[in-house]
Order: sequence, then C-alpha cells, then structure tokens
Amino acid sequence: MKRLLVVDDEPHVARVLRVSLVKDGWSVEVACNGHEALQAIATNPPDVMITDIQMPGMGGEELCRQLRSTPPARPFPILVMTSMTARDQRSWAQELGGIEFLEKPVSPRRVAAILTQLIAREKNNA
Amino acid sequence: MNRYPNWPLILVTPAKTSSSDRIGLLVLLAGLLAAVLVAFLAVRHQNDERSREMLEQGTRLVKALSAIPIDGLTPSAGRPNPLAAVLRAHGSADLAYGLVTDSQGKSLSEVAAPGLNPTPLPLAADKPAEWFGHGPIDSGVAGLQLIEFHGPLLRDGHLEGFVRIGFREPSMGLSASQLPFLAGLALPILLLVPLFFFMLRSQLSPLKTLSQRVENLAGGTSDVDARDVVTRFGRFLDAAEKRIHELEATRGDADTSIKLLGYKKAKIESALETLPEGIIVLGESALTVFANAKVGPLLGIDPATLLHKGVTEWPIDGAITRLLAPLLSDESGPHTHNTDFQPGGDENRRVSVWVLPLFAPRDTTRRLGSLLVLRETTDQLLAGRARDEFIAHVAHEMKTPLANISLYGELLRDEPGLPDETRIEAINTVCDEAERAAGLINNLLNISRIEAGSIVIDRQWVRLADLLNDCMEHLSHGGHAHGLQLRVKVPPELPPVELDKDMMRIALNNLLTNAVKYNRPDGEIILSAEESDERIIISVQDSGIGIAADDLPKVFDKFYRSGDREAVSRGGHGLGLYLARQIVEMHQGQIGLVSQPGQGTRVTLSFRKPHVLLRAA
Repeated sequence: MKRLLVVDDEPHVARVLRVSLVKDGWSVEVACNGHEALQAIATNPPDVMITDIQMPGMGGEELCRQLRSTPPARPFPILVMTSMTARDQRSWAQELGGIEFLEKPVSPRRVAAILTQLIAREKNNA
Repeated sequence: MNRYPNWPLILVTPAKTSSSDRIGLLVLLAGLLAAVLVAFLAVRHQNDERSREMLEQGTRLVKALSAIPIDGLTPSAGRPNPLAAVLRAHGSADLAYGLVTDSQGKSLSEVAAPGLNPTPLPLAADKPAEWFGHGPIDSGVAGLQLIEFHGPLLRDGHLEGFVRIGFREPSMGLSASQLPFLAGLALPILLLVPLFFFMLRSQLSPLKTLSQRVENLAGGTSDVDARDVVTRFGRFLDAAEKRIHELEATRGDADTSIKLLGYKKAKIESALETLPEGIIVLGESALTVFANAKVGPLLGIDPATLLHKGVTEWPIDGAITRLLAPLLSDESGPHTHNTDFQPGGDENRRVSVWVLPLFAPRDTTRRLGSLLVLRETTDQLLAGRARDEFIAHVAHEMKTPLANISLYGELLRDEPGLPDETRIEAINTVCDEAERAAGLINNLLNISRIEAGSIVIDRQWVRLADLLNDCMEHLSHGGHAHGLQLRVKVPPELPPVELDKDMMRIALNNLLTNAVKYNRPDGEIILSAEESDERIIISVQDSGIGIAADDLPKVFDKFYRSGDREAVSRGGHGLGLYLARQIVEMHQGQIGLVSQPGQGTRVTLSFRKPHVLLRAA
C-alpha cells in the first residue's frame, strides 16, 4: 500500500482523501504543520507528500526548504497546495525545484490522477 | 507747458553801463593792482636782502678790524689814516663812518661821510659780553638812520679800545636803479591784462547775448529768438525736473520692490518651514538654495549641509542621490516625478519624494529649478503591509471553508457508494463550513465597522438572566453543543445592566462557539454572571483542551491561531476573541482569560456598575 502524507492545518482534506483514495490502495497520514511532518518523515518517509503553505508553526515553504537542505533517507515527490491568487508564492518552489503544484480547491479525483502519474514517473525513473 | 513764465523778470537787473565796460574796467584795475603788488613785494624783498647783506658785511668787517692792533688803525706821522684806507678798500656805498676809540670812548681815529655827525653807541669796558654787537644810532641827519657795528681792540687780552663801523640803514624808497627792474616786472602783467580781458569777453559773449535777449524780453521788446530760447529752456527744465522725478520714483519703486521681495522671501521661507513635509528648492544652476528643517530627520543630515551644492554633492546615501539625479535633470521633462527610498536602508521606513520642475511664469520652456517635497510615508507603508496581511488572512480564512465545501461536495458527487456514516459526516461538514464562512463574514463585517468607528453603542437596560439564557438556547438549538452540558448561572437579585444587547450577544456567541469547539465530547459549558461592589462580571467557562501558556498573551490578537495540533484540528479563524475584546472595550469593560491545558478555559467580561461610571465621570 502506497503512503500519502497530507500536511495541512485543516483536517478535512486528509479526511476526504483518505475516503477517496483508499480504494486505489493509498493510506493517508496527517500532519498539521511542518514540524509534525518532519517527525513523520524521519520515522517513515511517505511515497508522496501533499502540503499546504500557510500553517501555524512551520509552514509549507520552510518544510520544503528543510527537506531540500537535509534530504530524507528516501526522496519522494512533493505536491504543494496553492491557489490562483498566490502565484507569487510559487517562486520559492520553483527556486527549490522538483515541486509540483496542486490548485485549490482540491479535487479528490484530480489528486488521484496526479498521484497515479507521479508513481508511474517514479517507476520509470527507477 | 512752461512752468517758469516769470523767471526772466526775476533775473533781469537793468544797468546803466554795459557789462562789457564794467568787466573791462575791473580787469584793468585788477591788472594794475597786481603790478603794484608785485612791485611792492619785489622792492621789499630787495630791501630785506640788503639789510641781511649789510648785517653780514658789518659783522664781518668789525671782526676783521678787531683782529688788527690798535696801532694799526690809528694814524701816525708819515702815513695815511689806515682806517680810511680799509673803509675805502671795502667800497660799500652804504658805509657811513668808521671810528676807533680807546677803552674810555675817546676818539683815536675817525672817518665819516660828509655831513654826518653820528652819535656812537655807549660801550662799557667792564662788560665784555657787549663788546661785540650792533645797534641803530642817530646820524645827525634827518631821515637817515644808521646801524653801528662795534668790536673790541685787544692787546695781549686787555681791552685797549673799540672799532666802530656805521652803515646806512636800507630804506623802502625807490631808487632810479630799481626802475628798470620794476618795469620788467610790470610790463608782462600789463600785457596779459588785455589778453585776459579779450578771452573773458569771448567766453561771456553767449551769456551776454542771452542776457541781452532776456533784457529785451523783459523790456517788452519783440524778440522771437529770445522767446524761443526761453521757451526751450523752460521745456528743458520741465523735462529735466520730470526726469528727476521719474528717476526718484523709479528708485523708490526699486527700494520698495527690494524690501517687498525680502519680505516675501522671508514669508515664503517661513511658510515652507511650517509645512509638515521636507522641502528642498534647487535653483537654475541645480544647486540647493533652500532646505527646511523637516529635511533633517528625513535624510538624516543637517539641512544646511545641502545648501549651495548639487544633488550629487549632498552628504547622503549615494543610492538616494542616484535615485534623485535623473529626476532633477533637464531631460526629466515638465512632469512631476515621484519615487521612494528607505533612509539608512531600513526596510521598515519609507520616505516618498516628489520632484516638481519650476518654470518661469510666462515661459514654460525655461526651467528655473526644481522643488523637492519629501514626506515620511512609513505609516502608509506599514498600513499597506497590514492591509495586505489582512487581505491575505481573510482570503485564506474565506477560502478554507469554501474549499472544504467543494471537497466534500465532490466526494458526495463522485463516490456514490460511500458508507452512510461517511456521507452524513460529509453533509454535516458542508453545513458546518457554510456556517463557518457566514460567521467569518459576520465577524469581519462587525470588526470592520468597529474599527471604522461606524458602530455607536446603543445602551439599554438588559436583564442578564434573559440575555445569557437566550445565548445558551441559541447554542443548544444549533445542535453544535450535542453531548455537552450547558448551564446558565445568574443570581435572581442581579440588577439590570446597561449594555448594547445586540453587540453583547455577538461577543457571547463567539465565546460560546469557542467553548463548544475546543471542549471535550462530554464536557461542560457554564455561562454565568455575578456582581461585586463595583462591577458586573460575565464569564464563559468550558472544560475543554485549554490554551498553552505561550499562546495566552496573543489569543486576543487579530487572526491569531494557536499552533497546537488539537486546537488546529478544530478549525477557527482567529477573529472570535479579537471581536469579543473590541465589543467589551466599547462598553469600557475589560476582558480576561485564564486557562489550564487539558482542563478548560474561562473568559470573563467585566463592566463597571453605573454608579461607579458616574463617580468616575
């Protein structure tokens, strides 16, 4: 079973994705900010991570920078949830590189399709 | 118009003789007088010379004779009188007599001009200081004055006699020998007199003509030329006087203008000093001619250091001068330019500069300089940042419930085989999020109205038991407080309180919403009121997850949300406590919060009783 880590202070995204993706063989774990995400990644890196940007404590940008400066034992694709009105926030993600964007509001079907593509790409790269 | 119609009458004084005759006579008399004066001075000078010469001759002659032994000066048998020989040898025409006496005054030898009978000066043999000398003596002839010179005759240092020489005293009279000399002096003078007279006459001729014409005019004689001259002269005087008046007026205007300009300059500078903005004026040569005191703190320098310098020479940050220099050049065009800079590179400060070209009033192609207006716009900068942050917060808070509604809506639409439990949860979440969005909008509107000052507290007497029970019933009917124990505790004797009922209901609903949101599933909410001597205290107490001590100082800040995982998982938009505080403070009340993580939170609203308010007023 593939593991998806959802980092968001709002619990609903993770709840819905858990319900929606379970039939596709995904297990969904939740972290409500960057600190919790880093702990979860240190314990057991996920196959894919979806993170919000604006969160109490450590936000999504800082989380990604730390993952780039201190890469995990096993690298994984990162999806950043962003919106049309926050295009200026994409600059740091482009600077870091290797980060995909997920437009809000998040659609479970869209997420499922993206995850499928990412896993396929990972297999090809491997 | 001639302003001097009568002046010829004033000037004219008719004379019996012509002025030319009078002048000629005067010149002749003056010439004669000058000749006589010159002759008198010449003769007098000549006499003075003769007297001085006689004095020297007499003294020298006496001294020479004193050196001869007395025997050498007295006659003896067989030889001529030596004294006569000496005097004859001297040959002076003024020599009158010679006399040798013994020490007692007895004559030993005497030589005298014919007719003279001089009376020698008495000499004392016992007064050596008087042995040499001279003095006037009587000649015995009327009108002839003699000067006698005398000296001692010594033998072996003893006085044996005196030698005396008499000279005629020079007189002031003219002698025939002096006439050629005097004639030589007088002739050039007398020759110059007519020459001078003709020259003077030639020079005075125009005046004479004018005078004649004026006399003719005054005498009624018809003289067209004279009248013309008078008229033109009068016009000339008029024009000259007018011109003088004009020049005086022009000078007066210039003085006034200078004073006025000075006054205006001082007034303008004073006005520029009172402006809240920094003002710099650059002249036509792009040098600073004025900088008011406000420039100092904006640029961090003494404004006087800018004077008489171009912008590139200003002692300020080079980045600022590079920013301003293009705006001050002639190529910058006729438009106003605006730019900003951060003094000292401080990101939290901003100074805005407007550069206005100054043109000549009637020639917009001629640039007279530039005006720089500097204003501290840090407040606008910070306000802009705060506004941007606020909008970002609001957008985020608004999008979150909408995104959740969309998320669950898609789930319900795309997953028809969802278990009932999941479906009900999804539907409830959609309803909750819609209510959350509505609550957020309401809170934002209320905060906006409060911060804008557009809400006026409408106080009315409120029974707290009714208000608190209404709020709790509203909470209960909403279904959100399912499983929680809700209690209202209000003493029956609690007096009515003067509050804005609607606003207080908003504050209490926010506090109760938090009490539900952060409570434990079987928890308790107590809404109570009590009174002390001076205050009425309303409190909302829950038995929920509580608030960490680190978060307590910030919980009333706008948009503040705890980073605690449990708190984050329960949502919230960070406006409820902020809005409650605003409402309480509008009532001159106080809001407080105590909390224990894991045990619950108690929020208290405290208001002073009416009599305390009156006493304070």
